[in-house]
Amino acid sequence: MTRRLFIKRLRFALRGGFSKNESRDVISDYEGFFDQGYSNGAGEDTVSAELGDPVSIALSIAREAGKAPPIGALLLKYQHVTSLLIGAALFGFALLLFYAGFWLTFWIDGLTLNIICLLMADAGLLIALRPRLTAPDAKRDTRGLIASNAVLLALSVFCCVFFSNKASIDLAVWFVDRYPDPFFLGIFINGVSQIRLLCVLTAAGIGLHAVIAAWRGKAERILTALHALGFCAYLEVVANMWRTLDIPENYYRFLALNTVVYVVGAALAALVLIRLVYKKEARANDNAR
Amino acid sequence: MTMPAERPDASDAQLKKGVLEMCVLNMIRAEPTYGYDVMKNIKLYFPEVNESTVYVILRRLHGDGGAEVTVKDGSGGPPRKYYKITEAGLRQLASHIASWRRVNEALEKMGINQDVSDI
Repeated sequence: MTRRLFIKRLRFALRGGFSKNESRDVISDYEGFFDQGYSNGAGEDTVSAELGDPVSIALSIAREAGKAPPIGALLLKYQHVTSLLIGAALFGFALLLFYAGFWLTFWIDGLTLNIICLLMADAGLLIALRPRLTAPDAKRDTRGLIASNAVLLALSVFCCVFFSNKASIDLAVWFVDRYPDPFFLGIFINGVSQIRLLCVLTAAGIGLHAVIAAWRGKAERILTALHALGFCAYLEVVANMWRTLDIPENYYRFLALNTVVYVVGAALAALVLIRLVYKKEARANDNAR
Repeated sequence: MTMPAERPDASDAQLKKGVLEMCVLNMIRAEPTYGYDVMKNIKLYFPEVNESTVYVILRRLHGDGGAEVTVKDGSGGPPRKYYKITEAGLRQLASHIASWRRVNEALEKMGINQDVSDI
């Protein structure tokens, strides 16, 4: 690790647990250690290896001072949960855009938009899984994950192609020609929307299953379950909104509000979860000692 | 998250309260010593000890009056802290050494300090 990265991580790890003066004091000490290491002839990689892990430093200092673990250190320590949060937020946002695609279909090609959204959703999952995929002990999990992800992606693209907005409209035109009654048309459109919803849920389910199957840690399971619940509730709301709302301006307001609520809610859930897991692990370690 | 937090230094926890503090106090007894040198020396004798542990001990000793800090200007860099033992620190050191001797004597009596090559 370079000196710059070490100090950057240390500064971040001390956040949310120490006053500015305390942080400055610790950082100044470690800057000094680097200088001393250089004057002893060591390179920055050697010195940073000697000084240890910035996250562990911040946690040790906080524990010694009887303080709660700094939020910055927890976020770095449980980086994969943070990544999962980003990935899940992207995934949720992509699902929302998927529905926006229905409205936008009158102006741009809905199929293209849907494919972009689902690729984005898949990218979200990959971001979430990245720390796990690159972990040294992840070889066994990696194959299953990649396979699950490939299935998810294939299914997503299949859903898009098969139930694209263009195809829906073609079918609707065909349907209107045969049954020009608005009541039947309403039932038809609703039916198509339910099938599409089912496809998206299946795709999301496979993706989430991949996460659950691959991640043995309890925190990820809980977080994934929370997100799965969130997605379901979210989709239900969107589906209802779709049926009752017919003014696009309101839809965009709804889209913005829901995105904010979802991301903030997920962030809070992750922080609470991280704190709980840390406390539990610390207690288990104390008992082990 | 499959790996519990800081499990590798479970043994380190046993050491850090007593033995490591004794070693650090002894190291800063003769002359003011720079923190980095203390950390490096401890690591030399206890490679399994978590790197942050020694820094935390130094901070604690400074906080509870066992060590005093002299700040000298670094050449162009941040000021450097040198740690030196105080009267209170010397008393702590004496107490640590006495406890350690008692433990050592008990181990000797139990035959634990003898050659273990045939175990």
